[in-house]
Amino acid sequence: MIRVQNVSKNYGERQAIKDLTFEIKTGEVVGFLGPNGAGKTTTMKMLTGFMTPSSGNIEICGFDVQKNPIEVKQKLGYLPETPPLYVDMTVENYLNYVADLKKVPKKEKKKNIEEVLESLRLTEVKNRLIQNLSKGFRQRVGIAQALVSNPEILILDEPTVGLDPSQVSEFREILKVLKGSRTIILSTHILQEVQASCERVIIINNGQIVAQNTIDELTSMASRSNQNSVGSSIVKMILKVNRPSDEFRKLLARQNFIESVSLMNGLNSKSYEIICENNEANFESIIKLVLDEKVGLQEFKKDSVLLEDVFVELTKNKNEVLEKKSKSLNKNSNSLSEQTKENLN
Amino acid sequence: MSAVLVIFKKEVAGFFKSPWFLFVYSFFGLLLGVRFLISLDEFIQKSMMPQGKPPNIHDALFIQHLNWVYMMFLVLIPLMAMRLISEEKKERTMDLLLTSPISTLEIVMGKFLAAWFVAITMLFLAFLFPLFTSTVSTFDWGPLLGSYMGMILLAGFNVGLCLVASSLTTSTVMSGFLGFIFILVTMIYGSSGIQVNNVMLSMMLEQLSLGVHLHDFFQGIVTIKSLVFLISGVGFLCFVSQRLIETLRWK
Repeated sequence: MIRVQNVSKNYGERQAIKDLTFEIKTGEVVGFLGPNGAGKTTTMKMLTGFMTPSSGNIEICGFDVQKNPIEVKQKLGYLPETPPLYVDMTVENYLNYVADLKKVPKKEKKKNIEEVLESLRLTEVKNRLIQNLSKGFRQRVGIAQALVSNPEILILDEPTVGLDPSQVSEFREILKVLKGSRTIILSTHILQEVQASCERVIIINNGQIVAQNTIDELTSMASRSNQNSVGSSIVKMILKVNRPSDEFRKLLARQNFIESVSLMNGLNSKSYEIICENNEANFESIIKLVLDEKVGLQEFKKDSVLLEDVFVELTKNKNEVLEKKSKSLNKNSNSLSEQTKENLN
Repeated sequence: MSAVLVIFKKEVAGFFKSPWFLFVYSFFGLLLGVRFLISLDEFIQKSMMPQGKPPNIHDALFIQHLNWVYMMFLVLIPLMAMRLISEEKKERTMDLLLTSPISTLEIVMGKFLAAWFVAITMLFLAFLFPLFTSTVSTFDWGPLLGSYMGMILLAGFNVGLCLVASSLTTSTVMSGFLGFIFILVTMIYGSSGIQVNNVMLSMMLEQLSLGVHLHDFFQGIVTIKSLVFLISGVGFLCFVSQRLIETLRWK
């Protein structure tokens, strides 16, 4: 259980974290999301007791981080942005040292180290000096370091940086195993990461929480935000055909229920992007047109709303939002004039 | 196992596993040997002179020898202690120490004791020479043991100075240089002191000088006053270093 109340952090004049309040329940996996410099690392450092907040308080498992730092740190495993490695030690000696620092009882120490080495596939390099390891291995040693005390709470600052794709998926597997018994907080700016492994997301921007929801809630938020001027929900459909032609595109564009059609970018593209109202009748009419024109249907699907869209929407600066809005207005008027031209044709 | 012991063990192992350190360490031993031979030769020549009182072996040989150790410590202790804290900050391993369930005082003590221990092993190396001399000659052990006790405390004081220097910066080179300056300043102050007109003030300044206390130790005089001065000095330096590490939490 982590409770953060009205926490602020100032670096001199600059306020890096402004009045942060959130709660994380035991066993939850929470993703900390935000652009670079949003305050993710600062928040995590404050959670671990490494850094003192300028105001507000943080409670972990019922202990105040400032008043009972030793008790809190006993329950924590922390992987900072740069893994804290002593490059002149071997992997095994290093983990031994960390376990001693974390006051792991002697009986459990050996077992813990072996388990961690096994689960992170570090057994074959356990006798090598850390300075001779590749970046991916070093990152894994960093994760091992956070796990070696078998902590109740795991705080990982950008854990997958430097890992290759197969290692990233391995890491997700490890997270799956760790899930449930532990509270895990991980920060990242990679959205797939969050979608793949977190139950809840806290998005921060400029030191403030801009959204705090489950993944499903966020994606439905994104689809809600896609509304046309009348207020009904619109959707982007991807249609792939075998024999695309300009005539077919114009035919689609002439339909009343379709708001806009465009050929997707890319060489030899055979896919159209169709924006229309989100209802079955519309989809059926599109399919009917495809069948009637015999263009050879290959694929017809909804363009899934990604967390990315939500993220971009939420972390935009206000100025940027205004700029984008005026741009999209221009675009709309442009596409309207195109449509009218086509209609005239 | 106590956290101080964990850090102490790791640091000491780090020293003796580093090839550079071993090279410097053996070079120190070699230099001591050569110097002792030269001093011994001088001492024998002086004793052979027919006229006058024969020189005292403690002053003419052992103190000479210790003075050389003292000079070498000016360079060796900064070299040894410079990376203790600055490197942890630079390599970001301080994050690990500060998020482990240990206090900053334990971190500082572990590091201080490790560097002090290594300095003491160097003094032990130097002590071997008088020890072997005792097989061929007889002399008073009191002043000799007093001198080494003084040197051990002085080494602790110098390690403390370098630990403060190391906590001040993230650059190892800068930290070594600062440590060197700190030791040099206390050395110069210790040997000359500052002259002032006020009797009371000049007495106080005199008592603050390392040289005065060290002189007592070299004569085999161990006073509570000197012990308290050096031990509290070391305590103060460790405290400053601990405070400096604590500031990392606020930055």
